[in-house]
Amino acid sequence: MDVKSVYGAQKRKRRLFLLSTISLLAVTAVAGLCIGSEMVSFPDMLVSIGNALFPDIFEPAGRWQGPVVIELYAPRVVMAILAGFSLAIAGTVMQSTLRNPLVSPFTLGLSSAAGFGAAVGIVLGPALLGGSYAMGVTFLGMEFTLSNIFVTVLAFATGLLSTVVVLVIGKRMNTSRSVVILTGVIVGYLFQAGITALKYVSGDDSLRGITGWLMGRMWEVDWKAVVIALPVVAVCSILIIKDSQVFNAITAGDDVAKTLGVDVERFRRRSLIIITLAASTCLAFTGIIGFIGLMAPHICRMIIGNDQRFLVPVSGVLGALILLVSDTVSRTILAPIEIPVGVIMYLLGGVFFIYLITRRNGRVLE
Amino acid sequence: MDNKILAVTVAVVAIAVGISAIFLLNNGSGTADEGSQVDYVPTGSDEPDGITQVTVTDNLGVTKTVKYKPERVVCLSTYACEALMLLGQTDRVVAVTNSSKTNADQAEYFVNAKDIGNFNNPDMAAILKLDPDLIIHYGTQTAVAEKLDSLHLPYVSLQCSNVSTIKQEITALGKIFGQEELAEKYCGYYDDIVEQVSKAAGSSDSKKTVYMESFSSMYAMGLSSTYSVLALQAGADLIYKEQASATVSPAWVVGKNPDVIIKTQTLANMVDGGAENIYNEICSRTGFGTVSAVRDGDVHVLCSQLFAGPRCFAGLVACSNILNGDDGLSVTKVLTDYNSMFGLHISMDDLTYPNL
Repeated sequence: MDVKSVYGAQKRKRRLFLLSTISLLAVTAVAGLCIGSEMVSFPDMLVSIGNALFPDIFEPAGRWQGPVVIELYAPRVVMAILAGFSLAIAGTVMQSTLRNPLVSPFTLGLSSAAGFGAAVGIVLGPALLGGSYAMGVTFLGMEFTLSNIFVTVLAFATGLLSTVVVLVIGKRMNTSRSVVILTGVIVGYLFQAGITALKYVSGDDSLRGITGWLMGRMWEVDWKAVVIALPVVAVCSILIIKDSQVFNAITAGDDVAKTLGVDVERFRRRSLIIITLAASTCLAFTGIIGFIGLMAPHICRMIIGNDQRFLVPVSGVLGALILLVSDTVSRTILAPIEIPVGVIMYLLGGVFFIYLITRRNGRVLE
Repeated sequence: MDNKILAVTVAVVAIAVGISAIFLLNNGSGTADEGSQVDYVPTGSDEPDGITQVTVTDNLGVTKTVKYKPERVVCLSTYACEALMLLGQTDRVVAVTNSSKTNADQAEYFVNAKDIGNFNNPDMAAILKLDPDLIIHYGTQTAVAEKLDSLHLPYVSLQCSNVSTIKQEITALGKIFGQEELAEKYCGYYDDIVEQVSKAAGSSDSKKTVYMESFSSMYAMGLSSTYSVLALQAGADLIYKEQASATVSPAWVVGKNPDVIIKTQTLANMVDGGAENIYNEICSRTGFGTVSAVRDGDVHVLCSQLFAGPRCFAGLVACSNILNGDDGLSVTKVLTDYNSMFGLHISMDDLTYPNL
C-alpha cells in the first residue's frame, strides 16, 4: 500500500468519525429537548420550537410543553454543547502546546481557580456589592442580576489569573514543561485552599451554593448564560481551529516549529489565553466539570490519531456529546431530584482512566 | 484499520439506535402522561363577593397580588407546609418537596401531592406541568425565585422558617386562603406562650450562661440563628456573642465554663439511641469534665424540628424549661395543645434528651 492510499484511508476514517459524532450529537440534542423529569413527545417538541420561532404559524403545543422545551431543556442542551466543546478543545490545546497528555483545565489549575472566583462571588458578593448585589441589569432585552454577572466575571478573572501565573512562572524560571505542569497543579492547590477557607466561613445557603457549583450543576443555566457563552465559545473555537495546523508543528517539537517559522512562546501563550477564556466562561455558568478535557482528546487520539487539524474539532464535538449525554442522564435518572453533572463526569472519567492505564500498561499516557 | 472503522461505526449506530429507542418510548409515555394529573380536591367557591385576589408582602419585602383561595398550590418550604396543615389547606396542595414527602409529621397530609425534588432546586418542568395558581417559595433561594420569575409563575416567598417573621407569615397565608380566624388563633396561642416564657425568664434571679452548639461538633450558634434568638428570649446568656455561626475551640468553651450546653440535632440523628450517644460524646470531650454544665448534668440535646417553622414556640419552651424550670409549661404539653387546637398529628418522640 503506497503512502497516498494510506493517507487517503486515514482521511476517510477521520471524516467518518467526525460525521458520526456530529450525527450522534444531533440525535442526542433532539433527545435532550424531549427527555427530562417531564417527557415531551417528539411532535410536541417540534411544535414548541416552531411556536417559539414562528408564533404566527404554529399554535402552542400545549399549556406546559412550550415553556418546558424552550425555557428549561433547550438552554441546557445548548450550554452542555458549548461547555463540552470548549472544555474538550481546551484539553486538546493544552496537551498539544505543552506536549503532555495529562494536562487539562483541571491539572493546570484553571478549574480550581474559576471555582475560587465563583466562591468569592457567592460568599462575599452580598458584602462587597451591598444592596446592588440583587440589582438587575438589562442587556439584549434580558435582565441579568448583578450577582450572576459578578460570579461569572470573578470566575473568568481568576481562571485567567491562574493561567497567567503558570505561564509567567514557566517563562521567568525558564523551566521545563513538566515544571510548568507542576506549577499548574500547585496553583490549583492554592485556589483549592481558598475555596476550603470560604466554605468554612460561609453560611448554610452560601455553602450549598458553593458546593453545588463545585460539583458542576447545570440547573441554573438559562438563555442569559447561553447569550454570554455562545459568542465567546464561537470566536475562541474559530481562532483555535484556524491555528490547528500550527499545533501540528508544535506537537513535533519546539525546534521543528521554530524552523517552520512559528514564534512558539507567543503562540503557546496566545492559545492558552484563548482556551482559558472559552473554558472559564462556560465553567462560570456550569460549575466545575472535570475529565472532559482529558477524556475527549484521548478517545479521539486513539481513533483518528494526532493530526491536530482533525483532533481539535473532533475532540470538541465528542466533548459536547459526552457532556450532553451526562447532563441528560443527570436530570432524568433520579427525577425529580437532579444529580450534579460533575458527579457523573467523575464516574465516567475515573472508569475511563482506569481502562486507559490498564489497557496498555499505561503506555497510552506516555 | 478497516476493522477499527467498522467497530466505531457499529458503536455509533448502536448508540444512535439506543437513543432512538428511548425516544420512541418517551413519545409513548408522554402521551399517556397527558391525562394523569395529580389528584386534588377543589374546595368550592365560597369566596365573599368580589374578592378574587389578595395583596400580601412576602419575606423578600415584595408586595404581591395573588389569587384568593388558590386551588393548585405548590409548596417549596416544609415549614410553610406545616402552616398550610394548621390552616387546614392541604387539600389545595398539588406538589411539595421531597422533605415534606418523607417528613413523618407531614407525609400523610400530602399523599396525593407530587414530589418535586429539593427546595433549592425544584423540578421546574413538573411545576410548569402542574399549572399552579400559587407557589410558596423558600425566600432565601434567590436562584429559584429568578427561575420562577423567568417562567412567569405566580409565587410568594413565605417559607415560615424564621421565628421573627412566623406570625406575619401565618397571617399572610391566612389572608390568602381565607383563614384569618385560624391564623389569629395561632398568633394568639404563640403570644400566650411567649408571655408565659417571658414571665418565667423574668422571675429567674440570674441568667445562666449557655453554649449553644449546632449540628457539627464545636460549631457554635451565632446570635442571628433562630436557635439563639429563642434561647435569648428564654433568658439565656449566650457565651458565643458573634452574629454568624462558626467553629470554636474546645479550650475556649472550657475557659468560658458555661452553666448549660444545648446541642441541636436532626431528628434522624436523635432516634434509636442517637441522642444519648450525642449526649455522651459531648460529656466525654477532652476538658469538658471540668465544665459546670457537664458536672451538673445540664447538657441537653434538642431536636432541630422544635426550633423552626410554626411549632418554634416548642423550642422556646424547651429552652425555658432548661433555663427556668418547668413553670407550668412543657414541650409535650404545648405540642399536645397545638395538635388538638389545629387537628394535627405531630409526633413528640425523640425531641429532647434527657426528656423535658
